[in-house]
Amino acid sequence: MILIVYGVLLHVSLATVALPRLLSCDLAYALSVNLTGELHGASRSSANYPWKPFRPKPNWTSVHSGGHREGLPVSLHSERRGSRQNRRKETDHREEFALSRYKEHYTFGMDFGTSDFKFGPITCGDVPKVVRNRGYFPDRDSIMMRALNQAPEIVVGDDVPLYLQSSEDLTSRLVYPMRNGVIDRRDTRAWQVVNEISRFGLKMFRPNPGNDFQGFYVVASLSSVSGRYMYESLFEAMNEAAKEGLVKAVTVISQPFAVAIGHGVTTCVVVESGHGNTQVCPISSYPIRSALVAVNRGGGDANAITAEILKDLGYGDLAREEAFVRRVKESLGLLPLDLEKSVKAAKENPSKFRAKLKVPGTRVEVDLGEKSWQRFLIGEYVFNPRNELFQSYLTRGMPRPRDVKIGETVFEGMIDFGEAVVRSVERCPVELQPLLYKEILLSGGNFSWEVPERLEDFATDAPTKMKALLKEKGIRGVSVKMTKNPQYSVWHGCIIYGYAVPENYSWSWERMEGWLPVAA
Amino acid sequence: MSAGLTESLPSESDVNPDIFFKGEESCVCVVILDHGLWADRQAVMDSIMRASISVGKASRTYLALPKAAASLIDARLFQERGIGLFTYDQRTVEEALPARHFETATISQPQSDGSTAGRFESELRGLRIEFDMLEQAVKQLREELASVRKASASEQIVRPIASSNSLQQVHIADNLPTFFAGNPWLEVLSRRGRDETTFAG
Repeated sequence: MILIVYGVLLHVSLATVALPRLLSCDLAYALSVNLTGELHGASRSSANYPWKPFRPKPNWTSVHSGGHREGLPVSLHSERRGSRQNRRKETDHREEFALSRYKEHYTFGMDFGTSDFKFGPITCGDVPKVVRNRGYFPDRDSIMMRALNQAPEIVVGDDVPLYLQSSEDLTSRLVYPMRNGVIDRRDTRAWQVVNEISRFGLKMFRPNPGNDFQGFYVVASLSSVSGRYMYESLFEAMNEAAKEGLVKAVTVISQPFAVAIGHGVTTCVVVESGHGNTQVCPISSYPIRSALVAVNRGGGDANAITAEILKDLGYGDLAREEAFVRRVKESLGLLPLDLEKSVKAAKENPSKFRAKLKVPGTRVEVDLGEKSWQRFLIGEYVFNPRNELFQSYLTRGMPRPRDVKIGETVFEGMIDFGEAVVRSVERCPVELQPLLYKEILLSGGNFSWEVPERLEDFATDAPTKMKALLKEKGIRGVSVKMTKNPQYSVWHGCIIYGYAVPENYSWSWERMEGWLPVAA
Repeated sequence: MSAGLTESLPSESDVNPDIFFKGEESCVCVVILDHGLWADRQAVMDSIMRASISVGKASRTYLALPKAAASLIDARLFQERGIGLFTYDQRTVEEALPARHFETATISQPQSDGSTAGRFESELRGLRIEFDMLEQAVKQLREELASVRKASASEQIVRPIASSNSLQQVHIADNLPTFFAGNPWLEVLSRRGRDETTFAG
């Protein structure tokens, strides 16, 4: 209180100002209009953020410390006139401050996940907007669409269910572009979906006209195995969006890098496991791209073994529906600490491990009965498919995870996750390796394994399993954790990156970082 | 008015704004420094004191100043205390600094003497204020803990991440998401381009 008064009085005693006349009743009216206009629905998290961004005006003293005090008569400046260099530094500081305030409102993150597209500006707070990462291409020749007369070429976002026509159309018209983290360069429909969903997200949060908005600083995140063409295509999409005034500058960072930033750890190994593949990426202030190890195994493989188990139990028809298979995996699948020990215990005491799944609103019920020991196969297959228990499934035709090459990256099919982490870390400088083992972060839905009550001696979670795999390879004293917020950590990382990286850090294909200004 | 706020009078005697608006769940106090009294030190003190009293008791508190006089004010002081600033001239009124929103019961609601509802209302108000204070305290503790952790991480063999001077280059405002708090990447990333020795392959 005293400081406010002192601050004000100091200026009052130093200045003389000529003031305009104003009728008090005009002021009361003007204030009531302005006040209610600003307060109506004006929350910072509102999608229609109407506020003008605060900028220090030429006749205001800057809010931050150390600012040059403009607006005072020359004779009342402080004795610190300063050299030209000092004045330039002060100008740079003011510009940095102004940019920082701009980015407080207009930094924008995009996480292109396998299933979901998470997006939004920094003003969303802790939780971004989420829509399914997919697009639907309606049959514009159908009678229904002709009757609508304005059928769009492609539909994204929450409107997709309104346009779905028949279930036969789903496979051909409903496109999930990021199914395995990468898009084939020739897949024009997938790229159309990416372009459209990006524009959809940006337009949703474009501020009302009339303020100083000049476009978002967009940070998009892609799989770390994305080829250069994916970056180029995304930059092109942002260039198109810039023509509508939506984008000021754009950059792309890898998903493991974004996870490390969102989690707040600058030296770590990120293991990101999604539907199609798993990436192991060490980070030390920068991603160590030469140490990246990619595994051609993910949640989709857990679905595959679950489907085989259902077929063996006589649920062949249900095993053909991917959504149902995924539900069985998530409800009944277990991750064993020691597969042989867990299977033996489950065979000796089947009632303790018995599991049933009933789908609400239907007559569909799955009961594993005496075969409930197979629950452990589902989790183990993801982490380590080399156990001989899986041979019978592979012999009978279940697809074996193979080594594949996508772009310059080889995805190994059959190595276990512990081996993948060791190979990745051992490609880094020796001095760095102990520090990397001390911070291993697991990210992605494929690591969400729960431990049911009464089964704690046999089932485990992903961090414990990873430690056990590393211990088998002689690596001890490791620390393995799940990311704090697995659903949003990539988006959090995008936002922090966009806010903190200086604007003059330009894009470089060598380091794969930096801002690319887009043509407005 | 279009937002459902109506001009009203506050019921608490120690809150004395020039204009008071109330709604269902919020209220706003505005203290006006008259253009003719700008040079009067007493008047300036009085308006600042009146605005300060309202902070925390109203959802938002504003001080309205003549535009020409605004250049002499260090807005940071008001921002730290959550007081918003309006500037006015003959034609327009502008919100130069948004006020911080305080969760509190509207001060225009009369308290029922001795009734159960009135007792509950005042207890709830007290709880909300305590909650706000606790939230602030937890936020400060988190930041202190993050800085202590950063100091203990200086044993790393990898090149040091932070130098104390670079801390000033990252302007961290109060209204950023919670995942910004204590995140060391803010400092690391703010130095991109200035220090290009890397471990990256």
